[in-house]
Amino acid sequence: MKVCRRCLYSNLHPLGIIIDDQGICSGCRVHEEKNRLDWPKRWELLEKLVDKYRCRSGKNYDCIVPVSGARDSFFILHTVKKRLGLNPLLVTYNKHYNTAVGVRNLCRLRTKFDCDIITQVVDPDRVKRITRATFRRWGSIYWHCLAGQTSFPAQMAVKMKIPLIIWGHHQGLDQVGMFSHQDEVEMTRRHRRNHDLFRQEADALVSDHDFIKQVDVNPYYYPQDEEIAAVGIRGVYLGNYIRWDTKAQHESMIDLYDYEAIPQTRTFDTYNDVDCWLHSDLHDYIKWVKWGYGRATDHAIRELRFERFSRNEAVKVAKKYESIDPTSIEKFLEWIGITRSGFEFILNQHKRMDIWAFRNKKWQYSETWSQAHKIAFENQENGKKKGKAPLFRVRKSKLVSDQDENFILIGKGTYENPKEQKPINPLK
Amino acid sequence: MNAPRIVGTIIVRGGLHVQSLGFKQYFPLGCPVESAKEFDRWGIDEIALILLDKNFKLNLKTISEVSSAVSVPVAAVGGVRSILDAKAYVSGGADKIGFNYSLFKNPQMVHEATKFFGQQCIIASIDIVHYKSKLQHWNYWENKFSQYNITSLIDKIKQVNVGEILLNFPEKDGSGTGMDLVAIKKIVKITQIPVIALGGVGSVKHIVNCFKSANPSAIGIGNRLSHFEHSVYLFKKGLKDIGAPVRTGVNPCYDDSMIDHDGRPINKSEKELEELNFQRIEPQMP
Amino acid sequence: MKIGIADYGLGNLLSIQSAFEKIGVSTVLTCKFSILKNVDGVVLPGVGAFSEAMKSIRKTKLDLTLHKLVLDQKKPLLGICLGMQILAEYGHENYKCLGLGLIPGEVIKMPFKINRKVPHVGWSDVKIFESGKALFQRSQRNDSYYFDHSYIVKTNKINQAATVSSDNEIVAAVSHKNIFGVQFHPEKSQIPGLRILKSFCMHCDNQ
Repeated sequence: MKVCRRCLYSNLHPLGIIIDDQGICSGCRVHEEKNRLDWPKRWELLEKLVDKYRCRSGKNYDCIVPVSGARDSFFILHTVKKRLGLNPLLVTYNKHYNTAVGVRNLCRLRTKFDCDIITQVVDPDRVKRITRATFRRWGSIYWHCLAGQTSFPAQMAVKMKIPLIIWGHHQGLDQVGMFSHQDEVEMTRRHRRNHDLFRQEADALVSDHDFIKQVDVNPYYYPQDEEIAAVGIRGVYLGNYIRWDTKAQHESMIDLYDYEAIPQTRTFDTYNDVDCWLHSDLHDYIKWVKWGYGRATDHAIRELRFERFSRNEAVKVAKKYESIDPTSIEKFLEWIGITRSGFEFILNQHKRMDIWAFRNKKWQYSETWSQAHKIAFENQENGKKKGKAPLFRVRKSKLVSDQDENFILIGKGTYENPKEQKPINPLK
Repeated sequence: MNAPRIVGTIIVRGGLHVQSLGFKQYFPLGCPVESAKEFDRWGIDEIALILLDKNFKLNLKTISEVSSAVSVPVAAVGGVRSILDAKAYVSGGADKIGFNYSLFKNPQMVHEATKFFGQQCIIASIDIVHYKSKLQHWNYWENKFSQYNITSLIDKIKQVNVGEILLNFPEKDGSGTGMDLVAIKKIVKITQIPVIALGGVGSVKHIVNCFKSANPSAIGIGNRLSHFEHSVYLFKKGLKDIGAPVRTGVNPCYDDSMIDHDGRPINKSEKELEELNFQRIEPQMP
Repeated sequence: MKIGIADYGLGNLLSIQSAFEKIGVSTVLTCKFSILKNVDGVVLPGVGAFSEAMKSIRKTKLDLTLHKLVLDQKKPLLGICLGMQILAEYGHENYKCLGLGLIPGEVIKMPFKINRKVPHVGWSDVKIFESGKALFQRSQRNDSYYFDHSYIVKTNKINQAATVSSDNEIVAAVSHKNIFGVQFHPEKSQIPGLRILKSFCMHCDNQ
């Protein structure tokens, strides 16, 4: 097992990662492109690409933009509508674990940008049955979100005959350097199946044992090859053409459009997953059990690569957040209908023995894991931090219409202007 | 003759399908079986697994999982040091085996393999680079040029009686800037053995130029096939449109589309898209 | 419908088995007469060299078994690639060697010809003759198949079920009473290959 000398990723990353002879990982290598490529020129490539898809007669939308109440949706829409001058159709898959902030952000998004939106809300009973099955089989409570978020836009593109789908950044490129920005990678069925869905298509879930029928997984099907080809569907990533910096982007969206940002349980990043009770909470806790690290590590590495953290600071921050207990576990168990002991039993089956060891009556990192991280720490690359610690802004509305205590299925999303509060300093 | 083959090249390192740059830098793509499944469904003519690990068990696992997932021939190149290794690969599902190191360090064993498995099952995999405007043969295990010039190299390969030659061009690998046409042409001309050329394909034009000017039996495409959906369909459609001979699959995907020189589909007109609302899109049945 | 795949220790039978599975036909892997006598048709695969294959066949007594099944019981037989070549009377790979003698003719090294590369490797379409009607009954125009061989079968025109379109010296398929052979790999030829296997099964059904 090896750990990158520059960032903190080990080669046990779920997406796969390559650490080269200098001890630097493929993710860091691709990140170097951010300071090397001619971004104005790449913007021109993007303009040329989308220009071909403009519907000049005005009879149809120019493109589809998958959105949510978080995750750079504002920045993507700002780029698509204001800078590229396209007429998008927004599509969103309802994750069910929605926070009031997320509902408000989404309402704000479509109002401020004046866009049409189509939402898919899959029947809760169906979603719960599917989630029980995906948790049992793969230890995942997020399968339906990942499957729905990637299938719904593609299904809509086929149904409405809108070939262009515009996404934000490519997770594989950003985290582990799966692709170079210059590859201009596009959305593929393969990536979804391999990395989001545990190498199976949706119909693998159909089983009497889990009470899941064919009709239950219909919303999660990716369109057939013939449909994709007939319409000429292409999913492009803005991150290939724009120097993607999610922190800076969110901050400008707060100023321009009143985006709300709130503290999260298990990470210092207050921007990316504000719309979900579970993502930086229980889902992240499960990720930590399965893979030995959590979102705080991903975020710390991201800031480290932008030279806003030193490596030692990143280690400190990651360590601080990853052992925080999730607070939404009871909400989730009540929603899904599993007991605490049942939940723990299933979760423990997904603990990897190359990451964890039971020593001194408790679960700790294995020798291999600790050793590999120690070696990387001792041989770390000379740090290149610039400036002070990055602060993460907090901004929340006061007078609101939706409850803030539990998952919201469908909310009103009305609000009074948000107020800026004290920012989070990850190092404090 | 036959339509020249398009070979999907899957470079495997640590059990992962990787993108490769100059055979020096690698970038993870995911599970090789998932890539192979896509290539097969998209109508690839053949799959070549380039196995860069010394972990024999892992290589064997990759070979058996890939070959059982696809219905095209699978060549396994690398990681074979003995007839026993070769037997394991073949029982694991490999249709052909490629040798590089053993070709030069143990040619007797490779010759034995051609007798046991048949000539058609054995591939000689060699790395060619340019140095001082001459073609040189590169030994990756010594990290330097070998003593052979191109002619003596091909003679040596002929003596071993292999069925095909896999020509790798490390300088072109992952560049996406086109193939080494001069070298491929030269080697194809001086041998009767079918040649698979690999390294540098980024667009339809690169493939066309290679078949036109150098005419190898097959062209391998690596990194590029994983960059966008339906890449094989699109490359083959692009070739068909220019009139290049290519095996087009049974599937009519993209039959009524245009492809740009990059291999990506050109968007249909608004009228065509409108008419699609009244057309039935048929899935292909065997 | 059950197809017997002759297992004489050479090569990878799993691809052939899964190809039959794809068209919904169950198979059994064996070299035993007691099992093969109950199947509807027999497939004879082959990977490697002629002489090696014949050695293994004699060792497992499969030659006697096949003679009984094919000549006495008139069971349909499909030889694939080397499996087709060993149906002939003689082979000349490595040294002159007796084949199964189920089809008249012999196997020789592909003769030298300008622009002909050896081995013949790649996808080719074929020209189908009268005797190939049964085997190619489900094939469609422009179907091509994957070939990979350095040796070819020389046999009477009447036994030639198909030849390679672009090189008619290369026999692509043979047919002689209840005995068939294909030089290409139907289990590696995607959908066109599956059509051949389906045709063979349909023929077995009609017996």
